[in-house]
Amino acid sequence: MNVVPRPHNVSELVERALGGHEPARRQIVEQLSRRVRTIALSILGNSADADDAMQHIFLELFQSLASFSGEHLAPWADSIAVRTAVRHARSRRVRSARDACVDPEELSAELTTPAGHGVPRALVEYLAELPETRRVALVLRHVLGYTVEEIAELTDVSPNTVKDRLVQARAQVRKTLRRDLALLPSGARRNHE
Amino acid sequence: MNECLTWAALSDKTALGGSLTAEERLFVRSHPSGCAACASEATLWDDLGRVLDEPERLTTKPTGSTQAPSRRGFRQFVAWGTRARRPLVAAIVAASAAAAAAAVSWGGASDSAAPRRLASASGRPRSLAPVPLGAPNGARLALAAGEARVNQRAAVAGERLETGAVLSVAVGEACVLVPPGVTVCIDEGTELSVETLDAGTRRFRLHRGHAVAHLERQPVGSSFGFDTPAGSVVAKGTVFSLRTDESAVSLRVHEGVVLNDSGTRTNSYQAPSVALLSYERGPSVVTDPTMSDARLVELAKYFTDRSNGVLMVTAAAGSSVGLGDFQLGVAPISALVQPGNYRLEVSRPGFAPIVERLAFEPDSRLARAYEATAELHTAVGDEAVKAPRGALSESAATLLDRARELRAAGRYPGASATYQRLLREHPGSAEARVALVSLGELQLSQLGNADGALRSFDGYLRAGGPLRQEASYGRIRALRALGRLSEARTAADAFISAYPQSVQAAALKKDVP
Repeated sequence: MNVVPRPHNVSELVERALGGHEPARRQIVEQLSRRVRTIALSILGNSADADDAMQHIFLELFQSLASFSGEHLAPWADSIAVRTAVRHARSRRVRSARDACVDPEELSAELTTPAGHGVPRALVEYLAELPETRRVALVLRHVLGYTVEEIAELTDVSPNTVKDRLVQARAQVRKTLRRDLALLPSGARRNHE
Repeated sequence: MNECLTWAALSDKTALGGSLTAEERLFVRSHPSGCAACASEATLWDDLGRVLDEPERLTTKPTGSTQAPSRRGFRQFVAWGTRARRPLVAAIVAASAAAAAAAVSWGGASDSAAPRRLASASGRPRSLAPVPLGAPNGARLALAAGEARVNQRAAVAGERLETGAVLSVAVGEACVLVPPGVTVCIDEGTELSVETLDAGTRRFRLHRGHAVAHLERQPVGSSFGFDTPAGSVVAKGTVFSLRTDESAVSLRVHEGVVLNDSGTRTNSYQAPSVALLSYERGPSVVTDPTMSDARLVELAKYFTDRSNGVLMVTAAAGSSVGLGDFQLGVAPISALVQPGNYRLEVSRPGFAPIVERLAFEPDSRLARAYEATAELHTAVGDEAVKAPRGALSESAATLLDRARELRAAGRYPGASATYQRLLREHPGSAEARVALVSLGELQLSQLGNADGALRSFDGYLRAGGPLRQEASYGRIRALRALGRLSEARTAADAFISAYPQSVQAAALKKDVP
């Protein structure tokens, strides 16, 4: 059996990838793709855009690989993913127009099956309804677990602005969720007096 | 609602990195178990925090084999499983190789390395598979809870409803399966008849009352609808409710699109929407068309064409029958059940619940009868197991959780009894303090026990705690309910000056008795 040895540490992996070693690049993509795509999907709100953005993210990531000097790829990749996904979101403002064109008859056939965990719609839909700045703050805080100060640094705003965005984002998600629960009830209304 | 506001504020505080006191933490942890809306929100935040490890949490989990699309036409059919990911990984690696090569040879000038646009591996929009054709025609009663009748005879789940059959409910609820893929549920004071069961055009007539229909996507050329005093209301795949008192008809569309043909024109209503379809006989007397569909929607989604076993339970009046996590309704009850193992629970205020494990084979039939003595006892039925009385050693947290579960399931007397047991057995605990406010709310809002509610709120206020605002507001409402208006006014004045910016203060100012 022909086994290609995998690099033992990150710097070796990066070295090889920079040297054009395809298995090393593949390993990096496989290591990070799940995380990077989740970030992209959280920020962009739909699968097609997330996949497009993912390609840009990895392209940027490999172009910046020479500047990588840490011990872990994930945090470094996160910041690239966030920046690239935000840029991608700004370049794509067609979602609302596309939604407006949905055929009502087709809609009637496309019913959501509520998720089994008590949230009427997919998380990604709640995120997609948020303005970009709030969505990014929420994703960085809740999905990636950054502190308010770290988010402020990543997004070039003050910590107070981040706090404000987070509170607004949470309030908006809360409002949407409760509206959904009222419209797609599962016993919630009776107990939410 | 008051507790919910507190919960939301504390939850936000945590999200911003703030710290909570032990009692606040307990409240944040325990409140959602008694409040479905906050429980959903807690789940949402929790899921969001896990999406890096479990990306599928970001997208709707299908309950069947087909990925469910969005209700709102927002077409992300995300199938981010292994099979979907592999081609994309390969494509990215290929592209990255080109980009990396470009970066190296051009000194990393990113603007020179224009990214190649790759084929997206995301799923294209696709339709849910419609319900298969060829499902048997006819309608079957899926649930008869309380006083449900077919053609003036006591209704029994499983019986067929032929064209012309009249189904009515005096007390309780009833559901009908109309294959393929349609479930109709009705509640008290409702009467409907079966107009036609032709596969292409199945129609019921709603004579009076309240009905909810849940339709899976229907085969081509097939629809289901109601005839009403305001014309026909037809859908192909949706959830909607109708309510009529014979002079006016209100329609509420929860999901999908519904067509109303009044005879002179056809209107389309898309979810979410509420419409009053007829003013023909003067102003509408339809009350509250927006608020009370929840239970029937729940029922309509529970019964499906796969429900084929029959469960029959008789018990003392006022007994509630639950199957697994689902509250079937009030006894006497008969219901169609999908094959599987279940936990049957029969409960009645003031009595220990009876719990029995049931195994349903396809097309099986099980009958149980219970009578109330000092406790509920099994009178008929094989291998019935009486519920063990709760052990005294149960912790305060366990009791609080159970009380909140009972409350969330709408089993208010049981919830009240459990709160009171918690207060009795763990009087000094933080859980008991929190329970006083929950119990007060329950007594006031659900059990019509304003006197008890006042005692509960007063009990909490004597001890003090973070729910002081909620307890104070509850106390005012309890005083009002008891007709002690002068005391209520004094308490309201004190409340307004203590919490001038609160939502409750605004409500009190607006609603001076």
